[in-house]
Amino acid sequence: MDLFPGFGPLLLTVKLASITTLILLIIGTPIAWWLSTTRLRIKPLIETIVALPIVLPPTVMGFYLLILLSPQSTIGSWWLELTGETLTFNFTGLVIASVLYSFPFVVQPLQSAFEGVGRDLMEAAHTLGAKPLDAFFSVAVPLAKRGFLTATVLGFAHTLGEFGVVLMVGGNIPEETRVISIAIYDHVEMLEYGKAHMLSAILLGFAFLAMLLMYTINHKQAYK
Amino acid sequence: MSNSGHCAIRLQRKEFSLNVEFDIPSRGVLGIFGHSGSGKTTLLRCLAGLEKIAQGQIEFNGKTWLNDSQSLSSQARNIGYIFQEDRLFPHLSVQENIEYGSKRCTTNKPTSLDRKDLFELLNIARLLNRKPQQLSGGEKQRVALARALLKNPQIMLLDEPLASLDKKHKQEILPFLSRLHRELNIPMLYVSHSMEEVSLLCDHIMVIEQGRIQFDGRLHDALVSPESPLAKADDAAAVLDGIVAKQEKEFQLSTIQTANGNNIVVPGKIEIGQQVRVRIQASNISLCKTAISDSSILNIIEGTISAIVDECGSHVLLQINSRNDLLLARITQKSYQHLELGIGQTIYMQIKAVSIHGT
Repeated sequence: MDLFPGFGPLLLTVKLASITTLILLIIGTPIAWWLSTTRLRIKPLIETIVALPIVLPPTVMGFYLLILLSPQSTIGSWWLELTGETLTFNFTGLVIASVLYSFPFVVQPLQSAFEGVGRDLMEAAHTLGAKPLDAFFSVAVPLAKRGFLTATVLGFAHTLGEFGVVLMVGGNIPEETRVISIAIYDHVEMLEYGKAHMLSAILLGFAFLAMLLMYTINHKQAYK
Repeated sequence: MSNSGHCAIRLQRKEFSLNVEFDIPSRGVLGIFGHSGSGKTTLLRCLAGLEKIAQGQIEFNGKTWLNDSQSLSSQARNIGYIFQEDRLFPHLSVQENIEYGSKRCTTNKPTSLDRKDLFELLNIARLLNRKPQQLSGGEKQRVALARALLKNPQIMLLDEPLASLDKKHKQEILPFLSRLHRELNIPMLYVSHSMEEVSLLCDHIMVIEQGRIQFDGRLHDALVSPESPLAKADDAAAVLDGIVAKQEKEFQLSTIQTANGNNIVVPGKIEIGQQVRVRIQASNISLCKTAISDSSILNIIEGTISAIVDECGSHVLLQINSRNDLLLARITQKSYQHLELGIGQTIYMQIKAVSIHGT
């Protein structure tokens, strides 16, 4: 079935990163907008929570998520009742963990892009008859498009490379939670350096190209 | 002039409070004059619905914009707002910028302005495909004007639209504004700290200081009456409205006749019949007790001293009435005493034609 060894983990990883990035863009955009416009005092607190995954060891996040999502927890048992599946050691749990893990990598670029748009142009849009949502999509989003590109690339690439959180929450179940980084770890453990080399090279190549694409587009935009 | 709106606005910030109450005219330009920090921009922002903490009452054209229980959003107030900076959308072309407002215009009443005429008036037809970044400061502000006007607003709010421009670009836009004022039948509120702009454009004026109205009245009165703070300014000047009655092509001069029958010669060839407002600075008028015939000065106008507006140090500022046109003349105390002048005295004003500015 495998086109080549490692195709399964690769496909699973891309699926996980795509779904995670999509969810992050949907929930991260309003949060980033709120952070860029609010003058409330709790802003630093929310910013801290958003940024935590950057500094926390993935195992710490993984550990707490394991407890939070386990069938013994409120969320885990509720999910089990609803769907008949556990949240730990399956794909859904992995998506939840990845969304939290890559959260700052999507929210922060969006927030700074929205801050760059500023209040002035939004005010101008309102005086020209645009309602808030209309002004957001017709002024803020197009002007923040570099931020959206950065957020998408970083969110996707960062999810691709996650290891610790996945191992803690998802384990190592083929076709379900065995993502590429875990497959590499397995191959090294079993001294299959050739396979490890191939998967590592794919990941390295992809990360390089994604970043290159992002920086090239941003560079072009900046000097347009 | 019938009233189309009334507002009473209060706003409290840490070290500033605004508390004003005034009528919004149904047409014509209401100038809001004050020094920076006096609260004039805040006042305009309150009217536009951009200050969320504004309190009070705003009624305009039968609609309530603000009261104790509600505040209508900016987009629902149907205003045209010109900011100090152009605030054009950088990701849209000039044409798309202009359409941004007109596409979102909700009133069915067609605009009294023709798109083509306006582009011509503002001289922007050739700029439509450019991006805002490719325009000069003056061009940007003209595009911003077109954008605000073509959304067909019921009122124009202009916040120092010329402040960010150099003198040359200012001179470029002032005539547009004054023509708009004549051709539009909606009111304009014009915030400025420039006496020159205010006196060349406005019909009414409100002087604001530290968030309070100091003076509110007809511009012509505000400039010359002893009660008005504007008459006491260093660059005090009176304005006269008139129609070009004569043109002397060989000398590049035009003669403007006021409604009261005074004739003023000004530099420049202006079309006969055109409405013009001239601004005459108090310091550019000198006085004579008798009419001189061999002077280089072209404008010699007879009048009587009607009030002493201000006396400070070595100067006296006099209000002079000539056929009910009121002018200001600043002369030295020494001349004032030497000529034995006083209220009711008939005198001749000499005004150098080259010193007169107009639109």
